[in-house]
This record gives sequence, C-alpha cells and structure tokens, in this order.
Amino acid sequence: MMAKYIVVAFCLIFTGPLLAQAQISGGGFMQTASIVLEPAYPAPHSTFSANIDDYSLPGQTTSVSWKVNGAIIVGNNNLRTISLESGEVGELIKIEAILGLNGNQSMTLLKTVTPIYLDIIVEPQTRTPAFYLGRALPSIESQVNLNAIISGLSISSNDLVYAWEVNNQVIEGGPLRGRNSVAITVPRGNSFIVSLRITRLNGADVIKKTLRLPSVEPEVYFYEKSALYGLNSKSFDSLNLIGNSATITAEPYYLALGTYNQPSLLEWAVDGKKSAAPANNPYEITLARPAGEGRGTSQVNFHIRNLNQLLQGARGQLRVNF
Amino acid sequence: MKKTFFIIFGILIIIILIAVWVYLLFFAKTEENIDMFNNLVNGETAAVVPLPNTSNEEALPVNLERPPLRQLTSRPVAGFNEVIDADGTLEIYFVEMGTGHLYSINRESGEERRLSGTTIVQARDAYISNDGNTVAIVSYNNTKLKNLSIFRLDRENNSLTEVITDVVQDFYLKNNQLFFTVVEAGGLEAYAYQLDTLTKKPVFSLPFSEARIQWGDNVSGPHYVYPKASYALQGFLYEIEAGKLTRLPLEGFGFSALVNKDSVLFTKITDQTPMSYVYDLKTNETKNLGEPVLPEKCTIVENTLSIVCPQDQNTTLPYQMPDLWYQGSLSFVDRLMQIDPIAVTNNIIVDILAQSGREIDVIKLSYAAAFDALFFTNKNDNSLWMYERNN
Repeated sequence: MMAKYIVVAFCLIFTGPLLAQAQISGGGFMQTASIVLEPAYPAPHSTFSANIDDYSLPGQTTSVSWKVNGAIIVGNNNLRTISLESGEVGELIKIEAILGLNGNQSMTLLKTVTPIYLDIIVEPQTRTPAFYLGRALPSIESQVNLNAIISGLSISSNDLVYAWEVNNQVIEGGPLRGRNSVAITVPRGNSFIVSLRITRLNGADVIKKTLRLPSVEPEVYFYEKSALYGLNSKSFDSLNLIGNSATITAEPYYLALGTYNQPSLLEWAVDGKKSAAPANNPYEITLARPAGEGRGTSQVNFHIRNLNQLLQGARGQLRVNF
Repeated sequence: MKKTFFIIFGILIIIILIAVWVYLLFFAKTEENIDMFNNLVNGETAAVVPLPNTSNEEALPVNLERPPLRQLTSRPVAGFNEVIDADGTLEIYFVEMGTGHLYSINRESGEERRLSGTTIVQARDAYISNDGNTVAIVSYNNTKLKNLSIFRLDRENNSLTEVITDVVQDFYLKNNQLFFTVVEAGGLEAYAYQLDTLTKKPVFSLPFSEARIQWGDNVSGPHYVYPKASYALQGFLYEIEAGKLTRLPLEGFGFSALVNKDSVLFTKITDQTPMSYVYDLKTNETKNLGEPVLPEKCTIVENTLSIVCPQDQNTTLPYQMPDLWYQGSLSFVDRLMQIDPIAVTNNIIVDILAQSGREIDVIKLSYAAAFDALFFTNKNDNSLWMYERNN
C-alpha cells in the first residue's frame, strides 16, 4: 500500500510540471515554455489563436504537433501558431502542444480554455425624457453605474474578486470580493477607459476586459407640450406659432441628474431678454403671441449649468415664427 | 347749330326711355314660366311617379369599397387591441392619449363609440385585454418611472373602475397577463398580474435596470432582454427562462433585437452604419438582411413565423441610430416589409406613402387575430391605422 503512494507521488513530482507549464532547469534559473492565446480570453463562438512561447528554452524546438481535446489536428504539424474556434459558453477546450527538442527529448504543453462572456453593462445616470426609449450617455462628472455579468462560469460572483480601474486608476481602494457592480464618476476628456479583472479567491485569473466609453456634452432639445396630451415626442428648433400661445419644454439630454434636479443656473431668454422660468417646472416656458404686433420672429434661448462643475451644462436656441 | 342738334337729340332719347319705362310699369305682363316651379302643380293633386333609372345615374357609381390602408382615428391613440364583443362583433378598442377615454371602432362599418368617459390625466401608453374588459394605462410623471393603473370596464355606466395602481418602468399585456418591471436596488424586478384574479407573481430579476424586454407567452418564459440601445454603448442579448439568465451570442453597439422561434433579427452598428442581420439559432449562422430595420418597430406574425418591419428606403441611417429616432429629431417615411427569417429574403407588403399620401413613422405594429390585417400608429401624431391584407 505504501509502495503505491510512493509511485503516485513520484509520478506527480516528475510529470506534473510538464503538464501545467513545461519547465526546464538550466543555467541556474528555470526556463519555461507555454501556450499563449490571442485574445487571452476567447469568447464563445469566436476564433482565437494558440501560439507557442518557447523562446526561453535552452535548445531548439525541432517539431511541433497539436492536439485539441485529445484529438490530433491534422495539417498543423510543425506550426508555431494555430487558429481555433471556441464552442458554446462554458465548454472546456484542452489544447496540447507536443514539442520535439534537441537530443530526442520531448515536452508537452497544456492549456485549458473555458470560453465565457464578461459583459459590462454601462448605465449612465444622466437625464433623458420619459418617452426616450434608449440608454442615456455619460457626460463629464456625471455618475455611471457599471454591472459585470459573467456567463458560463459555475462560480458564484460572491466567490470571485473584482478589480475595477478607470483610466488605469484602481477604484474602490483595490480588488474586492463579490463587487460585480460599481458607480464611478466620469473623468474629464472625450472618452475614458474602464478595466475589470476578475480572479478566483486563490488569485487565478478568470477573465479581463477593457472598454473605452464615450463622454458626451449635454445637448438641449425642444418639444411642444400640450396640456391634454403631454409632451410631443418630435423635437424641433423652429416653431410656427399657429394659435395664440405654445408651451415649450427644454430637455437637456445627458445632463447629470444632480444638475438637472438642482441646477445652479437655469435661464430662459426671449430675444435677448431674460424671462422668468415658471416655478412649478423651470424647464417649461409658455410663449404668447404679442398683441397687435402682427407677424415676426423671436429667438428663444435656454441655458442650464452647474456653476460648481462648469462642464455640466448646455445651451439651446429656438426660433419662433408668429 | 351743332350744339342745338345735340340738345334736341338728347331730349328725344330721354322721352323715349321714359315712355318705355311707363309702358313696362303699367302695361307689360310676365310670360308664364312652367319650369320655374317644376313638380309643383298649382292647386292640383300631384301624381307620384317613380323616377326612371336614367343612364346618367349609372354613369356615376358610388364607390363603397374601403381602401385596404386606412386611418382609423384622428385622435392620438395610447394603445389599442382587436376585441370580439359579447355579441360576436369584431371591434377595435383604443384608449385616447391624454384623456384615457376608451373607444371602440366597428371594423366593418367604421362606427365609433365611446365605451368609457373616465378621464385618466396624461394617459400615454395603454394595453387592452382580448375580451376588452381590462385596460392598463400608464401616465408619465416626467421621470423614467410611470404610474400604472389597471381598470375594469363598466359597460353599463360607460366608465373604468381602477383596481390596481403601481409605479413601473415598463409594462406589457400578453395572454391575459400584465407583465411589468420596477426598479429595485439598482436592478430590475419583473412581475406579472394575472388579469382574472389580479394575483401578482415574480417573473425574474435583472442586475441592471436599463433593459428592453421581449416578453414571453407566460411567466416562466422564455423572455429576451438586452440593455436599452445606444449607438455609443454596447448591448448584449440574454434569454431568461424560469428566472435563469443565459447569454446568447449576439452583441454590438446600437444593438436591438427581435427573437423569433428559431432566429433572431438584430441590428447593430457595423463600420459606422446600422446594419440588420438574421441569426439562425440552430446553425449559429448570421446572414446580412440587406435592408436596415429597427427590430423594436417590427412584429412577428405567429402563423407564418415571418417578421413584418417598417422600413424607410429613402433615409440613409446615420451612425447615431437609434438615438436620433428616440429623441424625435429623425423621423421615417415607412413602408411595410415582410421578412422570411429562414431564407433571409424580404418583400414589400405596402408602400404607405404611395397608397395614403401620408408620411407615417410606424410604431406599435401588430396584426389581427385572423392574420388578415395589420394595425399600427403613426409616431408623428399617434393616429391609428389599419392595413387589410386580403383586400
């Protein structure tokens, strides 16, 4: 019985390193060879390449043969890079490269790949009107919620460690267990980079993803509001006043919700003269046809800004023909 | 000499004119004009004679045929459904936007009746059950969260009775179930009300809130979900069955999708242009549709598993789609196109502009229970339209 354990231990000691990542001792330091994937984390149903990294081996590699899931890939002998297709989400792929070395030695490299999806759902917390069916966009100094969803991994998100970065700056003080959602503030610039690296509790990499997200300037659109039907969903920048009056609503798209709810500057101006914004809804203005002035054109301007965050603001103008 | 002659000539003419005037005044008689009082016989009994069928009447036929494409309402419509009344009459019920009043239109005669005068202020979206007895109406309150009310129709009193209220993000009525979502703890919780019993059941949970949902036939699903589309943000398609979220292999910027039985119609930005594709769920093959469409404007025709889509052939879609359409700064002049998702071919059902002369941006596209008509509203004025396919 004891002899059996000794044999098993002997086999593990001498063959284990060759399977995980082949290592050769020489010159006083360990020299290794491995299979490198491009992209590093293949998505399901995608094409990826497997490449042999054997530059640190002391001798020359004389032959290469490849196996995928135990089956030899015909026609790929002696290629250092092969192209492969990933399968369904969560479907494990076992890639083996058998290297022939000088002196009739051989070495087997092994790489296992489990194609999984890492989706980062971006939810900017900026203003869009109630009828708007799309997602808002981030603007400078607004808040963005990020949610990471992993598909194809049997481990619970509570047993994974999430390391979030914005423009290469680690946020939340460092990697956090189970932290699959974070709220960030959009930095300055036209775009910013979000990175997420997920590891197991033992530190082994699971997946990494990097996104470039846009940061747009808030923009104002005008809509006509009917007392009966509410906001008309068609925007305009020129209005022909048919009746005696019209109520116009300014919608500052992509403005941070904090600024929209409590703007430090909100102005309406008609032909250059400031007009008092209605107390009940400062985003609405009612324009009445001037008595006895016949026909004409007026310029209506709208300006909203957070005076503490000057880039959080927008202007819009509208021509009214009466 | 000459002057005297003119004076005498003038006096003579005046005398002649006076003489004519006196004659006409005292001696002249009017001629009898028998045509002036036609069909009226002075003092005698008129004989009633049927008017003969003249060839003139045959030359002026009255056209009783209805055009296959016709506008059903001039009022803005919040929601509609085809309903078979208790007496078997096929009618189209609709809720008027703004007032929440419920009307019916007889599909054959076009007669319109008001079924409820109960006012629901700022009614914006509505669904009506297949029997017409339950109405769900959403009114906006200037935020993403909307006030949902479910009503029972009181046909005797022409009114709606409110039975349930809730604050929702999205709602949809299908197969006697009202699905709706609420935002809870940054994510989305989906529930369903059984319309008969008004019992509330949880449907699924999502870790994000900005979701567009294609609801399934029942609570267990499958339902399909993707983050709301934007040209600048990536979207991903998920299937939810029995509460379990499964990723489907489709994603992209400006991503929107419509999942059919064995295929997915989806649109995403490719090389700065919105492009539409059909993905075969069995073979994992993706084919280019050729014509870009917005899947959320389309509907699946269940008897043929084909897809009907509004499509504007004259507008080159900018890369900021669908954001510009959502904002209302871009409008379409649609025609209706039928897509075969297996063969990935399409054919035009009706050119709306050519047939109606109206520029219509089609939304809320649906079909009649007998598959003989398509209904839709015009995004520009929210009027309700019908296209009868068998005419």
